[in-house]
Amino acid sequence: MKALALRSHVLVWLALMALLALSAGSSLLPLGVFNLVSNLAIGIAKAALVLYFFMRIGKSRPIVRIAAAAGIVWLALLCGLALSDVLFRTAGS
Amino acid sequence: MSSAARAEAARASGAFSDRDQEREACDLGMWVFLTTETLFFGVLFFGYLMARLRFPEAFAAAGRHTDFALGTSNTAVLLTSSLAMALAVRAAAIRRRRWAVLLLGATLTLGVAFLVIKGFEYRAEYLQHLVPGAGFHFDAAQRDAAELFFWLYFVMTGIHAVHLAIGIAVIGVIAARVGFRGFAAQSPQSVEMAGLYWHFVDIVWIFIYPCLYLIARS
Amino acid sequence: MTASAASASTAPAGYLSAGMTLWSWLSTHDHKRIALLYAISITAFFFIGGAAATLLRIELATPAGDVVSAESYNKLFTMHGVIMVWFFLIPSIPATLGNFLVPLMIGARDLAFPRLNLASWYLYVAGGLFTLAALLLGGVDTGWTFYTPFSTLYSNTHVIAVVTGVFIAGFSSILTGLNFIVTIHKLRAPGLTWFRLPLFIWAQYATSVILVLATPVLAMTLTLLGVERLFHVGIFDPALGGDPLLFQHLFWFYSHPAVYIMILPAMGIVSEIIACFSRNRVFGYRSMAYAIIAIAVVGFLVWGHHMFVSGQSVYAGMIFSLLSFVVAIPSAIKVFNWTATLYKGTISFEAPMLYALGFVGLFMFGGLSGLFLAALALDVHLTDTYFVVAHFHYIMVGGSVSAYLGGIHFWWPKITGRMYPPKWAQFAAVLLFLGFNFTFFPQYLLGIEGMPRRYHEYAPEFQTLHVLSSAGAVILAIGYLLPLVYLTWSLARGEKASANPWGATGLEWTVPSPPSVENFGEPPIVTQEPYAYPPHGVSGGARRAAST
Repeated sequence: MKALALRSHVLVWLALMALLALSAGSSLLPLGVFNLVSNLAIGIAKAALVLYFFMRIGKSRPIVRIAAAAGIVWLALLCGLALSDVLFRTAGS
Repeated sequence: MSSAARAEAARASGAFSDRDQEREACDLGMWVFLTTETLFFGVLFFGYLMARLRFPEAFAAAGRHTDFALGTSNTAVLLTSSLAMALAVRAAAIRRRRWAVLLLGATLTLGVAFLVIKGFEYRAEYLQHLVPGAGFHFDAAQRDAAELFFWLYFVMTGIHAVHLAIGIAVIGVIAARVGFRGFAAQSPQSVEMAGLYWHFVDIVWIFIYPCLYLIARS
Repeated sequence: MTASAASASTAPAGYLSAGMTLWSWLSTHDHKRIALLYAISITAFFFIGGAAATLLRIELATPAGDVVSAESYNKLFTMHGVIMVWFFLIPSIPATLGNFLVPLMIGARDLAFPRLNLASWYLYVAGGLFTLAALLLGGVDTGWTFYTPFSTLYSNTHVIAVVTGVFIAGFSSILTGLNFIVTIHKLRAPGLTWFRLPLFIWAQYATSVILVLATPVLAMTLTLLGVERLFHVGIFDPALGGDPLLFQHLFWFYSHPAVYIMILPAMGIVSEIIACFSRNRVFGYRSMAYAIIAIAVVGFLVWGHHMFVSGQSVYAGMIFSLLSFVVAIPSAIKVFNWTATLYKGTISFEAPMLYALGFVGLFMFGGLSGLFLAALALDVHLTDTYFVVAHFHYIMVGGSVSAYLGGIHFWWPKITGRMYPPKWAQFAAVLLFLGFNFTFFPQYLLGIEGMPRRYHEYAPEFQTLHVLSSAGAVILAIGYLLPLVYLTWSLARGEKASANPWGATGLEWTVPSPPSVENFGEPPIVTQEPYAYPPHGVSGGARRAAST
C-alpha cells in the first residue's frame, strides 16, 4: 500500500493530542455520567485514529479487518453475557 | 528486469511461493496475534468493569490517588511514540535507512521515557502506602474495594509495561540491524510488523488511561 | 480431485530418513517431524493421565476409601483432569494429525511459520514437564477447574506451579492455532477454493479460531489466580469484596470452547473416514462446513451452563440454557449427514471405519445426555454427579479419542509408510468400544441415582455399578494398549504401504508413503470437488450428483 504522507501523520498526532487534552480537561469538570461517556467515546476515537492511520487497517485485506473485529466482538460477548448474570443476580429473589 | 532476476527477487523462504504471499501471511499472522492480545488484556478490562460496577464510590475515592499529571503526560509520550513509529515504518517503506533508524531510536527513547515515568509513579504510590498487601493504607470504610482498585491498577499497568518493554527490546534489535546491515538483513516489512505491535500496545494504554486516571477527577 | 503433481526424476527420500540424528529431529522445521514429536509426547501424557485414572477406578471399586486418602484422591483426579485436558486432548488431533496433514491436504510445502511450529512444541513440552513435576512432587487438589476461593486461599498445594505449566502450554496452543489460520488462508494450492477443502481442514480452521480467541482468556485468568494467591488481594475473594463467580465466568469462557477444540477435529477425521469407507461423497458438504463454523461460534456463548447452581442469576441461566440447546443443532446436523453418507454406500469395516462408526454412536449418546444437562431444572439434580462425568467422557473419550485413534489408523500408512496388522486393529477397535461402554454407561446410572463426582468413598448401594465401571476400565485399558503394541510392531515389520492403500480422495494420498520432505514436487492444481469417489453403478453416482 502507498505510504501515508508525512503531513497526514503529523495531523493525526495533533488530533490525538487534542483528544487527550479534551479527555483530561473534561474529566476536571463535574459532568456526572457524561464524564464516563465522553471518556469512553474519546478513547474509541483515539483508538480509531491509530488503527486507521497508523496501523492502516482501512488498507488491509478484509480477513485482517475480520480478525481485528473478532477480538473486540468476542470481548463484547464475554462482557455482555457475564453482565446478564452480574446485573441480575438478586432480581426476582 | 530479466525473468530470472524477477524470479530471484520473488523467491521467498519456507513454504511461500513468492514474497507477496509471504508478506500477506506475516501481516495476517501479526494481526491474529494482536487479536489474541486483545482478549488477553480484555480480561483485565472485564475484571475492572465488574469491580467498578460493585464499588463505584470506592473506585472513585481510590481513583483520585493516581497521578493525574504523570498519567496524562505518559499518555502524550506514548501517543508521540506511535507517531515516531509510524514515521519509521514509512521511512523503511521508502528505503530511507538513516531516517528509519533515527525514528526507531526516537520511538525507543519515548518508550523508555514512559517506563521511567511509570517507575516514578510506582515509587510514589509505594511511599503513599497504596501498594496492595500488608502495607496498604486507606480510609477504613472503603479499604478493601480501594485495595482492589490498586490491585487492578498495578496488574493492568504492570502487564502493559511488560509488553512495552518487549516492544522496546524488539525495536532496539530491529534498529540495530537496519543500522548496521541495512534493509537486506532486516526487511521493511519487519519494521511494519513491529509497528503494528507497538501501536497495539499504545491502544491498550489509550483505554487504560481513562479507566485508571480519569475517575472522579472533578 | 485431479492433481498434476509431477514426480521428481529421482525418488526423494521420505522425510523419515532425511537426517537420522536426534538433533535433526529436535531442530527440525518439517511439519511432519514436528507432528511426530508431538505424537510421542502426547502419547506419554495420555498414559500418565491414564495411570491416574487407573488408581481412581481401583479406589472406586469398593465403597470405603481404603486405597488412597481423601487428599490423595483429590490430587489424583486433579492430575487426571489437568493432564488429559491440556496435555492430551487439546493438542492431540491438531498438533499431531493437524500438523502432519494440513499442509499436505492443501498442497503446501509446510505451514506458514515452520519455526513457530517447532517453538510451539518446545513450549508444550516445557509446560508439560513443569506441570508434571508439580503434580508429582506434591500435586494439586483443586480439581482441573481451580475454583476460587479454594484455589486462591485455602488449598495448601502447588497451585501456582501447575497453573504456570498450563499457562506455558497455552501459548503453544495459541501459536499452533495462529499458524493453521494463516496457512489455510494463504497457502492453498491453485484451484483449491474454500468449498473444495476437505472437511478435516474446515474443522482444523474452526478449531484454530477457537484456540486463538479462547486461550488468551485462560492465560490471563490463570495469571489473575496466581497473583491473587500470591498477594492475597481479592478480585475473586468474597471476604474482600471480590466475586468467585468472576473466576468461573472467565474460566468457562475458555473451557467450554475448549471442548469444541477437542471435538471439532475429531468430527473432521470422521468425515474423511466415513466418506472413504463408504465410497461416497459426504452428504451435504456445505451444511457440514457451516455446521462446523456454527459449533465454533455458538460454542462461545454457552459457558454459563457449567454454573447453573453456582449462584448465577436465573436470567443468565435461562439464556445459557437456551443457547446450549441451540448449539446441539449443528452437531445433530453433522450426525444426520454422516448417516446419510453411509446410505447406499459400499461400506467396508476396516479399523478406521470401526472407530469412526463408534464415534458417531458414542458422540450422539454423549451429546444427547448433554441436552439433559442443558435443561435448568434437570441440571439441579444432575450437576456434580456421575451423570456429568459420563456425559463428558462419552464425548471426549468415546468421541475424540475414538476419532483420534481412527485417524491414526487411517493415516498411519501415509505417516510411516507401513501397514498395521488389520485383524488386530479391528479387534482393538471393537474391544475399545465394548470396554468404553462398560466403563462409562454405568456412570450415567450412578449419576441419576445421586452418586456425587470427586468422592473417594460412597454409600454401599452404589458399589455394583462402580465395580462394573472399574471392570470395564480394564477392558478399555487393553483396548488402548493394543494399538501401542501392534503399531510399534508395524514400524519394523509392517507391510510397506503404497501411496493410497485405501483408495481415498485427497491431496495427501497423491504423494508417496511416507511423503518427501518438501511434500510435493510441484504445487498441485485442484480442479475437482472433494470426496469425488468413483460411483459404483447407478446408486452411488446418480444419487450424489447434485449434492455439494
